[in-house]
Parts: sequence; structure tokens; C-alpha cells
Amino acid sequence: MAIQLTIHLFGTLSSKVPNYDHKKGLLVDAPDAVTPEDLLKDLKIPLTHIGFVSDGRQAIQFDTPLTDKMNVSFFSLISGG
Amino acid sequence: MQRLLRIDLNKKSFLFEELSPKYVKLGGRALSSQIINREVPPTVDALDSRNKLIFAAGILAGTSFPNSGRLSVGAKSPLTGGIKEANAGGNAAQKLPKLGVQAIVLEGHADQLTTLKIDNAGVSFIDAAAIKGLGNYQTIEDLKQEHGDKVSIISIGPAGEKKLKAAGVSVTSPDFHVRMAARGGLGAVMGSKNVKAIVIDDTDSQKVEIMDREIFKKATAKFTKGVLAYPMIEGLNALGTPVLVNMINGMGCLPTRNYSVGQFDRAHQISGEYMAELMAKRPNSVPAHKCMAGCVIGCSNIFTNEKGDVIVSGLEYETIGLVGSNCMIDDIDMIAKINWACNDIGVDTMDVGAALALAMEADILKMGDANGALALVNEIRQGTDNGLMIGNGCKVTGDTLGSKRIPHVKGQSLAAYDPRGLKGTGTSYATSSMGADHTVGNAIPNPLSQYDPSSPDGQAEMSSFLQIYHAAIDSMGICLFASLPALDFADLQGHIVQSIGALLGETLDEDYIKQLGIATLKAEREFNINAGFTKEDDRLPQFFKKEPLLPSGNVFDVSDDDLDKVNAF
Repeated sequence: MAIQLTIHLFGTLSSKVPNYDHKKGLLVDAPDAVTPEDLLKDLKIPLTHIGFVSDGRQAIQFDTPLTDKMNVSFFSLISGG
Repeated sequence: MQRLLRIDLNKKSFLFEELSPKYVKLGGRALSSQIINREVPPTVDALDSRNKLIFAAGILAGTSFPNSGRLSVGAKSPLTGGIKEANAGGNAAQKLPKLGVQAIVLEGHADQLTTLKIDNAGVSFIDAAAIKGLGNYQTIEDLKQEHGDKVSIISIGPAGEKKLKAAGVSVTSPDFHVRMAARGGLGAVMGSKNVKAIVIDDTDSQKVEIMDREIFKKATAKFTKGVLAYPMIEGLNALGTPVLVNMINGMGCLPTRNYSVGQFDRAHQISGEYMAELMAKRPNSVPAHKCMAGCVIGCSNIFTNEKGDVIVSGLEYETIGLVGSNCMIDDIDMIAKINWACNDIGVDTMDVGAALALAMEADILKMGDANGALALVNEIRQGTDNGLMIGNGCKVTGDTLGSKRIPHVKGQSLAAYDPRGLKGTGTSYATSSMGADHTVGNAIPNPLSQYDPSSPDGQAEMSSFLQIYHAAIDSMGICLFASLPALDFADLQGHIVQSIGALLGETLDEDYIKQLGIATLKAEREFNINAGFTKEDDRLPQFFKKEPLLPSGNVFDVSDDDLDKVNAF
């Protein structure tokens, strides 16, 4: 069963996906229980470039199963200073 | 041979002193904290002439090691009542070792406002009456006209002269933008000593002596290569620290409306991504500005308006978080203008940002009122009651206004990471001898690790580890961002240790970084205990423990027992 997700890319990640639209994000169909790691593989973005994944509320892991209509945000690797 | 330059302001005399065994081979925060712990009476008032003000170059300063030009400024803090070190970029720390000076120690106080000039001939004491009351920018311009454009200038603005608790110390970048050692009220200590500025001129100075130049060169090259290969650097270079706005908002930890919620619905308008769009269109904006010679990252910026006039450099995440979302201000140009005013007056944007939010909560001005906030900041310069209140930081402001939600530890405001969602950072805020400070041990999660920032468990160990590491890094003079890749790749830590070993002509222990960090933290802890601090001072305000942070619902629930373990080295 397929689910629909909206992916948002922040920092320099958007430059790795041609024609990425900041306002809309990426609307994708994905298999049930797809994970952030699966999405990154499809986008050809290495895990080592990711600092943080969010479900719009708080941090989630690379292996967190995603559910229908979720907003998934990926952020560049960064830290505070 | 590196030396201390002791300046007796009472007598207008100076002495170059060889580093004694207790200080030898130290630099930056380690050297500053050891001097304060040994030489400043811990219970003395921070504005008393017996307090000492230290300007210490890091161990690697003046060499070709990348990003090693942070200047540590230290004293007993008028804001926290404890020991303090705040560091800044700029080019002062790169010049001092070339003059054979590892640290300047200001003792006593001058009988009139004074500018100190330090060069190969020693120290000149110059009457500063002509620049009395000037903001940092005009002070810098006047001193540059007088002493040339090859110098570095350390200065205070009106807030430092007024001895306000949120006053910081300005250090110029090579292109004469202001960098601030902002935290802890060290500008007030400089003001209490009647020193308006220090001009450092390293004309005709010598290169820093490196005992084994070949090994140093190789280790430094390997470290530089490792830093540049680290994926984080790309983001910092392109977007600077404001890239954190969307990220911390996504975590639900962006301070918003005086730490009431963790997300700001207009975060995009103050984000690094939006700033990059603006800067691409605006003449003279520089998105990858370098604040010090030898920087290989370029995380700072020069932010201009539509005409190409500079508003401020650099506009950083912490300022945007505290002055922006925390005050519900969504206009990035206004945040930049408030930043410039704070720099010119010479106050910490973080403590003042937190104070502005408290003033808004108390209806002194409307929440989100950017023009009102700028006007209130400018009242610091004028010395009105409200201006002086804001200029003394968030604790004084909150106490004055009767707030029960003052976001501080040991009198210093929190940084722009809500501790209810980032509990490792919250643990560092609570337990650091410096007061609430993010650079002492900021535990930002990485999904490649299994570290959970929202769990109460394991935060003491995480904070302790980070505090030890960053105390050592601050002692070497290395910028925090250049040090972060070495947290993920241990071989880079090896290259740091090898570089220092080659510089000093010694083979250092494998756990040199840990030893240096622990020794520094112990000195700081000892000073604070002797000043009267107890474990009850190592706690976050109650509202972080009771009020759930939306949208996650987290509260800060790291136990007091765990907090008390952080400093049990």
C-alpha cells in the first residue's frame, strides 16, 4: 500500500535535488512504512550529509517508519555555536 | 618564549613576565581561568580593582593552524558572580603571540579613561577623553585613523563605560568589523578599569617559534583537509550559523515568545535560507565572511540593505533566536539593525534579547514590536531607567519586572536552544561554571548516532564529555566549528595534539585534550565554590521543569542527582 509524503530540504540539501521548490517541497508516493533513510537513498543524498530529520514536531531517526500525509524535513549537518 | 604582559593601571607601568611553571604551555581559556583562580580573590566584587581582566591568545594562536585565532577574555563576572571566559574571533589573538605575549593581564584601574597601545616597544598609556562615550564603531574608526589599518582594536562601548552587566568586549576582524566576546559582562570589568580600548600593533614582530616545523606542517595540513571534507562545513560556508533557525525550529526547540513555545510560525522569514536569498540580490552582501586570518570555513557574513549599505556583520543564529523568534520579531532587517545597535553600544545580543522578551511579556512594549525593541536598546546609550535595566541583562530585567519566567542560570541568559527538547544542552546550561552558555557543551543530535536529546537519561555523561572537550578547544584558540569534525573523527583530534606537540617541542599524551579540559574546568569550579556557589546554583529555572514545551510536550526532567554528576571528574 502506498503512502503520500511531503519532503522538505533545508540548508544546502536543496541544491542536491534539481528544480527543488522551497515553497512546495517534494510530494512523493512511497511504500508503507518507508523510512527517512529510504527516502534519502532515492534522492541520492548521503546520510553523512544529514544533521537532523524532523516530522515537523521533533527529531526522528533514519529508521523511523513514516506514515501517510507526513511532512518530513531533512536538515544539513550542522551544529550550534 | 611566550610571556604574560602584566599592566598595572594604577602605576601606569607594565612588565613582561616569563610564564611561570603553573601557567607554562597554557593559552586561551585554560590560561585565563588558571590566572583568575590563583590571583583574584573569589569573593571580591567583580568591579573592584582587585579583579583582573585577562586577554589570552590560544595555544595555537599566531601559527598557521587553521581557525586558531579566538581571543579568550576572562575575569570574575559582574553578571554571574563567578569565573568567566568569553571568546571572540577577530585578529587580536593572532597578533599577540607575534609580540611574544600569550596573555595580557590588566590589574588595578586607571585614574582616567585610557587607551592602551601595545607594540614592539611595550605599552603606551594614552588619554581616551576624546573617545569617551563613543560607540564601538566610531571608536574603532577614530583609532584606525590614529594608528593605521594594520592594527587590531579591542574596545568597549557606552555600556562598558557605564559598567552594565550585559556589556561585552569588541574585537575587530581584519576588515574592522566588530566581533564580540559578549557574554558575562566582561565589558563592565574593562569599564571599571577605565580602559576604553587596547590597540595591538604587531608591525616588525616575529613569527611564532615552532619547535618542529615539519611535523607541525604535516599535522596541520591533515587537520585542515579533514575539516574541509566534513559535510557540515559546506552548510556553514553557504548559509552561516543562521542555517540553524529552520533546523532548531524543526526540532521544536527555537525559543519563541520568551521560551513559551518551541516553534515560530514565521521562522522562514528569519532563516539562513531566506537570508541567503536576500544576500544574493543585495549589493555588497558577503555570505561567507571570514572573521579571522587563517579561517578555512567562512561562516560569518556581511549583511547589507537593498542599496548595498552594510547593516551589520555578522548576523548570527544566537542573535536571530533571542532578538527574533524569542521576541516574535519576524523582520530580518530589523533584527540586523538591533544587532548593530547592540554591537555599537557594546552589549550581548543574547542577554539583551532575552531581556527584551521579558519587557514585552511585561507590556513595557508590545510582543513583536521591532521598532520599539530598537528604541529600547538605544535607551541603553541614553541611560534611561528602562535602558539601564535592559543593559543589565535578562536577570535584572526579570527581577525588576517581577517575572517568574526568567530564562537564566547563574544570572546569564540561556542561548537559542530550548533545554526542554535539547536536554544535553540544558544540562550544560545548568552545570557550567560560566552560567547558561551553549558553547561550553551544545548537544545537538545527529541521526547517525543513537543519542536522544529529549530523554532525561545519559545527559550528564554527554554534557560532561562535551564540556571537557570544549574547555580544551577554547584553550587552544580553535573556533568551535573547526573543532566539531574532530568529535566525529578521532584522527583529527590526533592531528590537533600532534600540532601542539610540534609547536611546543614535546610528545604529548594521547589524552592531552581531556587532561587540559578537566584541569581547566576544575580551576573554574574551584573559583566558583570559593566564591560561594553551591550545587543549588546548577539548576534550570522552575518553569522549564513545569511548563510543557509545545509542540513536543517535553519538560526538562534531568534529575538533580544527574546534574550533580556532571562535574564529578
